[in-house]
Amino acid sequence: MLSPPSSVAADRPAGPAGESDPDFVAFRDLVIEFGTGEWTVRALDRISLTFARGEFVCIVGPSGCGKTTMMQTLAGFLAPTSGRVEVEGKPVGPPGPDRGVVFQQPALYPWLTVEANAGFGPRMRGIGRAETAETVAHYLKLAGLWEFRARYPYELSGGMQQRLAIVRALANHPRLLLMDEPFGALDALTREKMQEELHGVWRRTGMTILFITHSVEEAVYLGTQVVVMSPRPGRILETIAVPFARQAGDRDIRAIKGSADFVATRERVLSLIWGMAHD
Amino acid sequence: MELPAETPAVTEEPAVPARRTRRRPVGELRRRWVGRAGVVTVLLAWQGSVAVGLIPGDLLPGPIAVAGAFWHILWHGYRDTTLLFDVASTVGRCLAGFLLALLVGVPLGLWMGVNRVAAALFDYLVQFLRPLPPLSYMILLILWFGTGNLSKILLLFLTAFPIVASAAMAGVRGVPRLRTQAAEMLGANRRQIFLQVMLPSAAPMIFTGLKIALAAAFSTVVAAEFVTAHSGLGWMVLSASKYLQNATVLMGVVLLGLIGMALSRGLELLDVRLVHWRRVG
Repeated sequence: MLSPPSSVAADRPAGPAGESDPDFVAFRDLVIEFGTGEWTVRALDRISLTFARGEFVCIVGPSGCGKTTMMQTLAGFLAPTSGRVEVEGKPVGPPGPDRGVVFQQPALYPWLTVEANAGFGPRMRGIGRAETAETVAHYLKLAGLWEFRARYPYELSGGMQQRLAIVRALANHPRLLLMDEPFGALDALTREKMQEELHGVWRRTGMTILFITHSVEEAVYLGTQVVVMSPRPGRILETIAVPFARQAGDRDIRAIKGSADFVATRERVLSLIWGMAHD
Repeated sequence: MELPAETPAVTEEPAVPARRTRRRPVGELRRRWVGRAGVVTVLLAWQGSVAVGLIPGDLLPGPIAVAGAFWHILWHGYRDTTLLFDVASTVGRCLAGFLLALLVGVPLGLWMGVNRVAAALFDYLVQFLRPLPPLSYMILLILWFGTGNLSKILLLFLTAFPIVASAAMAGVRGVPRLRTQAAEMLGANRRQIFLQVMLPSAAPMIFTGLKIALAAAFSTVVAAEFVTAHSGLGWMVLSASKYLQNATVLMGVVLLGLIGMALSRGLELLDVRLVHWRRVG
């Protein structure tokens, strides 16, 4: 249950070459502008950021800093005004199953059962029934949703709905998982549980994740790198390597979040964000 | 009519999976009995008023007289028609016009929802027809298509069609952007997005349109039978009124009301089955 089934493993382009590629994802001088003429608003200003396969990159910043715009460009929902966004050296195309997206709202399909929602991607892509069922069963069990497979999304709690949205994205075996404030609508307790579970999924699968949040604590807890952005126009202020996600052993979320190291890192990121507020 | 929103549910995780309750809650049962008691009270008061002479019985016959008219016409028919034939005529015309509107209106509305050119092309027609009182152009339809069923079915089609088409269009346009974006990133092509995401997303609103359209068609069919018909409940009511057979008139009115209720109840049941997520999703 902890390791992916054979079909999952076979699907993932793994290998030492890929693991060591520091430019697995690359934003190169990315500029995004909205509107035309004198109404042009620059949402992202020459963003450059690269990260390797297997990283858990968290983007934080005040609202209006363009973090969602950045993710939408990587997902393919937006085209760059100038600059490039690449995955494995190739410019990203329109949205596709290689880049799974989890939105702030689960955006599930209420007319489909939990199982059918989870298998939506493979079904659209014409993956065989047996293989889809196997993948879906694997991830539903991983997410603790297996016993709910015959239910409809509206019969699930908010946290379970968001877990299903993650399962739905994972069922396509994406190279990248993009998450746009996925836990923003959840209550504090559910949110921490989800953080722990997502951390577990990341450790077990070695998935590359780009995670957008407005919670600094969430970013420092989950991320291997925390990217701090400033608003209007969106720029990268600083990228900070964070050790907590990679710490070995069974981690107790409260112990980590209460540790002096964690608090210090969190305060450092917060002071960066506070600093720009006083500009 | 709102589409089911993506509600940010923040409820606690249920320890035991909670099944959707299919049983009717006690409150609902009680409401039903209160409703039935209300109907019985009105009938009793009505009959009582007639019995003590508060209301002249020839102008407003009591429920017993109305039931008597029903019983008589059920067995002996009204003029040259049987009651069953009159009911079938009215319901048949209504359903024929309604189904025609469904078959034309839903595809056209969906097309207008996804295609700007189609929307521009048909929008004025639909918006013009929608508020237009059908009876205003009915006489033209009779002149062109005769006094038979064809002109009536076309009238009902023209009544129901703009309602169905605008509902389908609004349903498609109201599909939450996140739903189609999610489908795109999951690997669905445009055809799949339309059939598997937009169509079911629009279904609640399409069904709402169908319910309104059926009600509109039903009220129009009776009016149409007033103008020219040789069968149907509308015709029966008008004809009986000319002979001051008020019990028959009332019987027709009550029957029309009940049939109207049954028709919308039928659609409602279909709606609950097919669009099970409407209220909760």
